[in-house]
Amino acid sequence: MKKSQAKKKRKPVDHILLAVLFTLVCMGLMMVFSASAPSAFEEFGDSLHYFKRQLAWVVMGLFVLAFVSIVNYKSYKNTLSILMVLNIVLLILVATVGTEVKGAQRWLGIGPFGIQPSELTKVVVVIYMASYLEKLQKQKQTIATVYVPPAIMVGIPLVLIILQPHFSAIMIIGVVCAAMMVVGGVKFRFFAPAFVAAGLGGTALAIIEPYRLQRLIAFSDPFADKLGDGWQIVQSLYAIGSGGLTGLGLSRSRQKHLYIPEPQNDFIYSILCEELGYIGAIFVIVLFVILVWRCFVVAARCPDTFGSLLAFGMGFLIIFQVIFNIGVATASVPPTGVPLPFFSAGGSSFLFQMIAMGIVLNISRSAE
Amino acid sequence: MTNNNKKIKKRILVMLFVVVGCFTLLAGKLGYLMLVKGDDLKRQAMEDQSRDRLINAKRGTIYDRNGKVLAISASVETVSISPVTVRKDGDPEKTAKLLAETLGLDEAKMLEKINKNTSYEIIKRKVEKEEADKIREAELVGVYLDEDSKRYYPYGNFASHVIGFTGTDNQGLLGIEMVYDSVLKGKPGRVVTAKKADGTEMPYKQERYYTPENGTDIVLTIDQTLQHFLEKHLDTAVVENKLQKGAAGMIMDVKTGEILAMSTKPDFDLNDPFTLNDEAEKQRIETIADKEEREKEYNAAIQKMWRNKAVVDSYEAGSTFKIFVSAMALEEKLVTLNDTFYCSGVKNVGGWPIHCWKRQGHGSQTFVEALQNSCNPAFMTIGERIGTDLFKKYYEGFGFTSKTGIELPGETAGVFYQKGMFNEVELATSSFGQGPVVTPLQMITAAAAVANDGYLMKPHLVKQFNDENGTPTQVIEPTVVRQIISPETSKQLRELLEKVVSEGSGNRAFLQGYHVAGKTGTSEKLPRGQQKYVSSFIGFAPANDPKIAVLIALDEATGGDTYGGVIAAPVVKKIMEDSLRYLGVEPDLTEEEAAKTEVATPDVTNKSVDEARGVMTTFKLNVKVEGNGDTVLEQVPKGGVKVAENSTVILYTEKRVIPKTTKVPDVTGLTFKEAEQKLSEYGLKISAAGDTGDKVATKQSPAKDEMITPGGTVTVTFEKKAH
Repeated sequence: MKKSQAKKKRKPVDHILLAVLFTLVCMGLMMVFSASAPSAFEEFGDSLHYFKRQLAWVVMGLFVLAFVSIVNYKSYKNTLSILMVLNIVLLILVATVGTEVKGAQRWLGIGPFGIQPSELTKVVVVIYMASYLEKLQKQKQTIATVYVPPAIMVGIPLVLIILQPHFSAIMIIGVVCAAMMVVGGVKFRFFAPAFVAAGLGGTALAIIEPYRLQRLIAFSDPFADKLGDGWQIVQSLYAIGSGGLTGLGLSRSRQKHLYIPEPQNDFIYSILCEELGYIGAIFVIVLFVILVWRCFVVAARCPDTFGSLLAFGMGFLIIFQVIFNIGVATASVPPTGVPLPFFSAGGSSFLFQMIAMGIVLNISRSAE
Repeated sequence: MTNNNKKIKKRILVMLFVVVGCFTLLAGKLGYLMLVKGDDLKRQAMEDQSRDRLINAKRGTIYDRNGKVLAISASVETVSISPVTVRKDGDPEKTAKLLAETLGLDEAKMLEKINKNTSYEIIKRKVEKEEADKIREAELVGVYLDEDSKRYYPYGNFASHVIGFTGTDNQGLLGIEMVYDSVLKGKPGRVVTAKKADGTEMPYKQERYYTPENGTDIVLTIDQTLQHFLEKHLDTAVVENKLQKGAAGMIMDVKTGEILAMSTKPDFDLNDPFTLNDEAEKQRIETIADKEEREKEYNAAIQKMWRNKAVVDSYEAGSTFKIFVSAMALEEKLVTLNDTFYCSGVKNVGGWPIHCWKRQGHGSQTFVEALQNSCNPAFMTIGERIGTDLFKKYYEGFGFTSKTGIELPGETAGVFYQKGMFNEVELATSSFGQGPVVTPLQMITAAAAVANDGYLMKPHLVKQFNDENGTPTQVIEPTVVRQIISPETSKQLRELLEKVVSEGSGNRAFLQGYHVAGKTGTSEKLPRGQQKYVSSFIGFAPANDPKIAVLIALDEATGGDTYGGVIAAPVVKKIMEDSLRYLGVEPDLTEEEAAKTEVATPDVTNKSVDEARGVMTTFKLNVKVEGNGDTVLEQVPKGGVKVAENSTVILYTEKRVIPKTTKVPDVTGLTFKEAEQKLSEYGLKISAAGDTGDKVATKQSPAKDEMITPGGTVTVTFEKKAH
């Protein structure tokens, strides 16, 4: 009766999630402006250089968010194969005609705005995993059913990303997949070989590219090589420590003055700590906790398994990057270039974060 | 709802806990970094982020006991640059050129400095204000000017070893400047400028200025006037007696242990302490071929020039030591004044014949006479009565084995026989002063104790410490180290020692009416047999109520006489005479003495020259006539002035024109005190126009370099300091 009537009408999105998301996006934009102003002035003679670009991305991102939030999530099951092909084509394009930045070929230039196809990969993999795990619910779990499909469907893009190389993207995708498999009910005995494989893969990477090992060493004691490998982390710790309880005040960061390289990117949270203090830092963490709580609530309330896993996967994708980014900034985990969602400057990553959130918002409409 | 979905929900909840757990850990880590380690990290970050420039504090002023300035710091500036800032935001060429031109430096070197990869380089220290202003006006980017100070010593050579001087970093290197360096220097301030990682300045001003804490002023016990008397007479003695190794002298306040004057000759100019001023020595060193050797010799000579003989050099006490042997014997009642001693000119001790300074002997004499004669055999006998143990006890009691603790660097404690080496023979020779090696400071301190009812006072040079407003922060009170003899013994000795001067070997220190007491000393320098002597005299006055003690030690006289009684006693007499008069001690003359020695000059103006001559003769005064006139127009001294018999009165018979022989110095820019000081050095008086407090002289009349009559007055206008 009433219930069926309501079902026909489009249900509203999760208000709390939307509010928190807007708050984070606004804070992110503010911090991009504050953190990037000095280096923007230094490089381009225009303090607003990065801010203007980011503002454009945010505006675009909000349209994308609005659009995605009205696209029925179930339709992704049908378009999944197209998305996966598109993803692989883009990754191959990166490998062939991509732009090389700092020794890694990760960007695909489209006009003045470059995009990172690996960001697309993250979202596509989550959709794929949700779809595959939904099917697994009805199947008997064997090596063939658990390993083979994702090994092919996720493995191919991962190999292409290794070629770039983009280690952090691989790690994020791997962990998100693992988390989704746990939630999707994959039996624990299947995880042991995955851990061994991940361990072996990590060791192999360390041997092939020793700079990763150096980063690990720098992480355990950044002050040992303050001017070399430890520089970024030490400067990040200086920024965080300088914040104290209440911070130096918005825009008053000293560490952004060329001490922290690209302060608007991966170490934007350190600048936030310096300017807004412990109070500001905790405020942001609380916002992210509310965000993940709402995402998981949306996942739990979704009546179908695909929607549940999709919402969980998107929420986890965002929040794992948050945890890892803050972990790097506080020297709690080895330094890896992971941006802080909604904060770090950068177009394609922001766009795909909006897509991820748009999908969750759409799923929130289907709540029981 | 399916079973599967329930399970998924459960697992999502678990994942939520995992995620919240991770955030809790991160919040904890952030709390640790920001709240616990925050200050530490911030400090480290600031060190990296800031560029420090030190601002020297104004060094404390050193005054004499009457507030005369002995050492003062004037403001100069330090020029520094930030090479990266100059290169990035400034004009390196222009900067190098201007700095080189203004400061008289090499332009190429300047460019070299600008091209250094640092964020702070000092260009020049102690830059005078005019030059600094030129640089300031040019408004160069990355060039900084900071206040610094330069030390000035208004009196130059005056009390050089006591006051000491400072080095390039304003650090005290000798004397009071060295000992109280930490007190005088204050706490330097800082200018901290935030800098970016590349060393250039932050775009917005983040300059913090930490005000320097100015140093504490020190008021010495030194009396500038007494020091002047001491130095004047000591200088004369150095020349007259052709002293090879200089001289040391001191005036001490007997009752408080305050050093009123202390001097070592030859001295040096405190404004130029690194230049060797002994020309002969300089020439000798310049002829040394080896560079290393030459530098070594030069340094040694400089060190010698800086050596404060009064506290560092010890000498054999000689006969002056008989004062203390007498004190021991009288205090222990081992002699009475009328005990008689026989001196044949030699006395055998432990199988050794030990001679009196008077080879033919003094014959039979009382104890009083033995002291007056400074008879060695008599004192050997007295020494025997005292014995080694008592002798040592008193020797230590008078402070001869320890440093006095005076506020000067490098004080030594003298030398005495090692344990077990002080036996019969050593006791005998020590009893007349051969053996005990003491510093002049130890000697005057012990002698003052004898005069001061037996109280040994701790000698000291600092009277009080003042903050920059002149408010005393600490006043040094006289300290009694110990009482070594009774007031009765002290009184007996004062009378005995007065007799040494009035009737005995010290009679050349006799001063009518002032009751000078004292003892002469002539000690052969070790090793013996070189005919090199230290001639000394230690005296105090007035004997009935001693105020000051004076010690003079003349090192290696070659002008004929070497006896302390002959060459040192007259110096003490002159110092005593000037000092006691200055201190307002009334001469204690009997009416007869007074009448005998002093006459009031009669007024003979307007009398004829012949008549005037007659009058003067009857007053036992000599006459000198100036001019060709017949009538006395003026006389010097004027009528009614008390003068000594046989003094000369000048009679002027022509209008006297006083020649203008004094050149007026430039006092503009000085404070009232400094101006007064400077004029008084030229023998001129000051007349201040305008309020003098915290003002500087802007005008003076007559102008500088004009000639005026000696003793004339200069009118000085003071106005508010222009900043």
